[in-house]
Amino acid sequence: MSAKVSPRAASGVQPAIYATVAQLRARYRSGEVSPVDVVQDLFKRVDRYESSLHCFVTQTRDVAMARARAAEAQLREGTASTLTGIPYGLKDVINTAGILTTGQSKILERNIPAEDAAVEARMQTAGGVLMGKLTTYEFAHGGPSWDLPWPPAMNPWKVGYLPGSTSSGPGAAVAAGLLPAAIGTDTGGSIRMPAANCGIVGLKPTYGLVSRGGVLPNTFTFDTCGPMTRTVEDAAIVLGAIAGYDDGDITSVERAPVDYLRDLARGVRGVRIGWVRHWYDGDERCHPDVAPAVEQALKVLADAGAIVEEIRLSDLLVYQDCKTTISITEMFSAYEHEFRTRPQDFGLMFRNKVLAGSLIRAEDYFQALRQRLSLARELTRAFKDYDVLATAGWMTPAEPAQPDQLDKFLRPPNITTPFNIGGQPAMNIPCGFSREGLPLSLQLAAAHFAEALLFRAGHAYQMATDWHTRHPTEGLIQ
Amino acid sequence: MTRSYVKPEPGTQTLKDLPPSTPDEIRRMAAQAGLKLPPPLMDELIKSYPAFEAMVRRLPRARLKFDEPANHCVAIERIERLEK
Repeated sequence: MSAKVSPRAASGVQPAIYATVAQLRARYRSGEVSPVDVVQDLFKRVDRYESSLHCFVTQTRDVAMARARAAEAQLREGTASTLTGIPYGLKDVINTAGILTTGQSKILERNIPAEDAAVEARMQTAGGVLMGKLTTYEFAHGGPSWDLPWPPAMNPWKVGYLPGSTSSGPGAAVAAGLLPAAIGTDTGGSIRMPAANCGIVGLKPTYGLVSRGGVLPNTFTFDTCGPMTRTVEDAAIVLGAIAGYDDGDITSVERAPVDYLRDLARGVRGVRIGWVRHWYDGDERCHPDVAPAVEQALKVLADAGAIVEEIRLSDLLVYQDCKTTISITEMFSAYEHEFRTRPQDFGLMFRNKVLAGSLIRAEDYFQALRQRLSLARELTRAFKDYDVLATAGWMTPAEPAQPDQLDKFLRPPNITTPFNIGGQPAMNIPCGFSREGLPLSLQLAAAHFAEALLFRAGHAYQMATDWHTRHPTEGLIQ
Repeated sequence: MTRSYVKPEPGTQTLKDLPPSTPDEIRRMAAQAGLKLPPPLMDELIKSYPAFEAMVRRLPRARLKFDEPANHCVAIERIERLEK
C-alpha cells in the first residue's frame, strides 16, 4: 500500500482531459481553450470508454453543444458566470425538462419531465454545460441490479469492479476524466461511497442547503444533492453555484450566500478534529489497508497544525438501524402505488430492499424518528467541542461486481450514514491506495452549514498530498 | 483518554427477544398491508424480511415521554410559500 504522503505534483498543469473546474475557468478566461473544444474532447473520450464504463443513461450532446456555444459568447462578452462552459453530468434521478429522467428504473423508462429540478436550474443559470444523465442504482437505492433497462456503471480503476453506491455513474465518470464535475445525491452515503471507491471528492451538504425540488425521492428526510469533483476546490466552486433557498423544497433553509472559496487556503492550524476511529476499527472491521491510510491522513492534518483527538460516538449499527428503518418506510410510501400495481417492474435489489417497508408499523417508524433526534443531538454535542470529525470514507476499497447479492442487505453498516442522521455536511477525499491499487478515502464532517470549514480542511490536505492528481488506467478499456 | 458523547438510552427495552415471524405470518402481514404479490415476489419478501425485522426490533422502545421525533413538523409559513 502506498499510504505515505507524497509531494504535490510540481507541474500544476494537467492534460486538458483531466483539467479541474478551477483550471478550466482560468483557461477559458485566458482564451487558452474554448468550451466547445473541451466538450468535443470529452465526448470523444466518452465514445472511447462508455461501452465499458456505462456511466451514462442519456448523453445530451445537442444540449451540451448549444450551451458550450452560448458559453463562448458569454466569455467573449465578459458576462461569464461561476460555471460558464464547465461540463457536468447529473445523476439520473434529477429532473431535466424535456430530457429523459429515468431513476434507472423500468417504472420511468420513458419519463420526460416538464421542468428542471432546482439544482439543474441553478447549474444552468451558473453557465454549466450538461453532458448527460448519469447511471445510478434504481431510484438511488438498492442496486446494483443487472435486471434494469441499463447496465450498472463500472469502476475505471479496475475492470470488473464497481464504482460504489448509487451515484455510481457520476463517480466513475469524474474519475475517468469524462467530466470534471457531476451532481449526485446522498441519502446514506451515495455521494461519498462512490467518491471513496473512485478516488474523487464527494460532498454531502447540510440537509436543506441544496434544494431537493425535482429530484426523485429516496428518503425525504435524508435526501441531499451535492457535488462530485476531483478536488476540494472544485467542490467548493460547484456548491457555491447550487446552494440556496428554494420555495419549492419544504426543507430548504434560508441563509445568506457563502463564498466557499474565500477562506479555502486558510489552512487548519488550530482546527480541532475529533477522530472517530471505532466506527471503522472497533465496532466494525475495515479492510486492512483503510485504517493505516486514514491515520496517515490525520497525521498530515496534525502536521499542518490541526489538533486531533480520538472520540467515541454511538456504534455504527445503532445509526444504521435507525436510518434504514426510516428509509425503507419513506421509500415504500414514495413508490407504494407502483408496488401495488406493477411490483415486478422494479429491479430485484430495489424491490427486496424496499418491499419490507410495507410491513414497518407506524410505531416502529416513530421510534426510529425519536432515536434519530437523540443521535443528531449526540453529533451536535461532539461538534460543540470539535470543528471537524474525521473517520474513514468507506470501509473497503472498490469491490468486484457480483450480480444481485441479496444477502448483502444490511451488513456491514455504512460509515457515511451518521451524518445523514444528523444532517451535517460530510465530505470524502482520496487518501491513498490499497495494495491492489484501488483508491482509499478520508471522511471529514463539520457542524451544520460549516461547509466552508470542511473545504478548508480538505483543501489543506490536498495541498499537502497528491492522491487527487492520480488517475485510473487499468479499468479504462475501449 | 477518548471522550465519549454517547448518552445511555433512557431504557434498554427492545423487541429483540420476540421470535422471528414465520413465512405464514409474513404472508398475513403483507395481505393486511394490501399487497398482492405474485408468488415469486412473495417468496422474495419472505426471504428478505427477517433481516429488516431484526433491525427494527433492535430499536430502543422505552424512551422518555418528552423525546420528540425528528422532522415531525414544518413551519406553517413554509406551507403557505409552497402554495404561492
